[in-house]
Amino acid sequence: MEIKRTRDGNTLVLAPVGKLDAATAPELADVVRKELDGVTELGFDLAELKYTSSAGLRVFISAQKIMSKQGSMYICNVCDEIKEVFELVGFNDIFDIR
Amino acid sequence: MSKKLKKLTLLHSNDIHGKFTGKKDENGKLSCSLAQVAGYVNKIKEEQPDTLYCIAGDVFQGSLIDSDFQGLSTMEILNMLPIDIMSLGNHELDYGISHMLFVAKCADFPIVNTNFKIRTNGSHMFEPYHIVEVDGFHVLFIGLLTENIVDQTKAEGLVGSFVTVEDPAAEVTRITSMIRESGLKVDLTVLLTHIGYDADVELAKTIDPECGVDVIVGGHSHTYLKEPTICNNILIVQAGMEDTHIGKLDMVIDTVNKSIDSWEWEMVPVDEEHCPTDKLVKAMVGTYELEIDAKYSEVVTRLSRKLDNYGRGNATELGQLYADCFRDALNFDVMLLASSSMRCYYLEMTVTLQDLRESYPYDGKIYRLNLSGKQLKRMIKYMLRDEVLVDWKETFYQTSSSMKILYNYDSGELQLWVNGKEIEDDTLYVTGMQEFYFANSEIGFGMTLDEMQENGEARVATTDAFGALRDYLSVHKNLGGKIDDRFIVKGKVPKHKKK
Repeated sequence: MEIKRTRDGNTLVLAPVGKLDAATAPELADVVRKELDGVTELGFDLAELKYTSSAGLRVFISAQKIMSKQGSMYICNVCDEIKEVFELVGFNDIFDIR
Repeated sequence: MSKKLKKLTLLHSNDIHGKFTGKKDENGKLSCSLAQVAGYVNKIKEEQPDTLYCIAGDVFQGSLIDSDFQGLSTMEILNMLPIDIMSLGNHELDYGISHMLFVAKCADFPIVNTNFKIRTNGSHMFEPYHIVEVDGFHVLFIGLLTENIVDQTKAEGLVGSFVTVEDPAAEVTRITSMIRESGLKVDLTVLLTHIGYDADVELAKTIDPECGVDVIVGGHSHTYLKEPTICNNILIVQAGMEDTHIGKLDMVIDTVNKSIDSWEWEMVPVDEEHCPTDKLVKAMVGTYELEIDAKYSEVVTRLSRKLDNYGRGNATELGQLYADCFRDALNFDVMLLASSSMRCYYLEMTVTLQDLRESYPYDGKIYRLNLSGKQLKRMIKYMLRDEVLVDWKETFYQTSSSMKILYNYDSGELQLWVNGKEIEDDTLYVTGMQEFYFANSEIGFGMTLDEMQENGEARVATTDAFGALRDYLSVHKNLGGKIDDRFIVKGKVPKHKKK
């Protein structure tokens, strides 16, 4: 899966492209695990993400857990289909969705 | 001797059994959810930093969220909680010993057990003990597992033959002695056991005070205590089961004399009144709920009515139905179905795949045996002993309607009929039984494997017990009914006492 990265000092923005499913979610999870050292603001730009499965949702949750200890996290540019899933799982109560 | 006092709080859970989602009452109030457990633990840790949270085994087996992912989901969810330590329970081995060794590596917290070992060289299967340091204070946790796990490992064939479970008391003596000699700093010793409350009490009685054990945090028996039991100066606690409560042991420890100076304990209800909800944990559980709902919302069958399944020493409506299903699907004369393999108190009329899976979560084989009338009589008689009928401690078998049992408890007289005819000693009856109970025939039926197979080797009737049940119910509708007369016990049978 292509995951675009933009790093600016302590800010990191990750933009996954395509779809997050059982096969591709671990790739995003790997990036989250390996690249958050020193990051105080993490953004997920979902402009090019068309679909996420439950596995993908879990990556966002794990990332939020890490960032709640070292800074902040937001998710932006969420398409309507993914917004619906976010609402179903209660993401609106937990995440900063822009 | 002067004292130097330190406060320490021990929060504890046991036998969560995959129950993460909780339940809502008629007013929509949530209780018994893992997110509330997490919220409470976080809250106490924030208020009282010298707090440890431990789990005394059996986080696995009890929900589709757990069983569908063979515990990997459970580990991912538990990793969201501030768990300091967990000890191994028997259900952690339900998906296989090798599998658990892998899953344990996925945990972000230590999992301890000292008495589950490799038979040939005595190696520990897991970390035998772990010392948790909190603000310069060292708490030794030793994990212990019930010796009954040996029955379970028998079903694992080759791997199962290489493992053993040592006597808990002997292991505690050995480990504590080794730690003393090593000079490791220990201020408080906690046994994190999964052996059952009665065994915890017996263990406390036998432990030499030299071992320095201060607390036993237990599990396995699902015991709800009104207050801790104190035995041989050891505090014994347990917190029920399935996230209904969290145990909270507040201690003031004399660090000079290394003893508990004072303590308070309570079982905190996991509900909205006592526990805030951790939204991240709730969301994590929610993602698994989504997957399970999508997969399992399909309706398998409609029964004739809601079927009851309460009791471990008696015939039940659901037990009768399932025994009949297996008998018909697999073409037996008689089916013997272990009550303990059905994991629900009832089944509603409309049965989804989720309901069916949760009621019968075990995959695995069912065996076909040729048993003589004489053998069947012996096996059924063995099943009718007090440990089964009264105490509900050993296995009761639900039987298919093709077999009628009439037992006089007072006289011990047993009468059996199969397919409408009185059972004949030398006639062979094709009998079905589950893999685990076949492998442990001595415990369940009082008969060795050789004796069971004296009329021919057992054959595998199906390698997918759940699939056989699902397929049968999907083509047969409106099944089930009230308890019929297939199992009748006359006489003065003592009533089962709920603990």
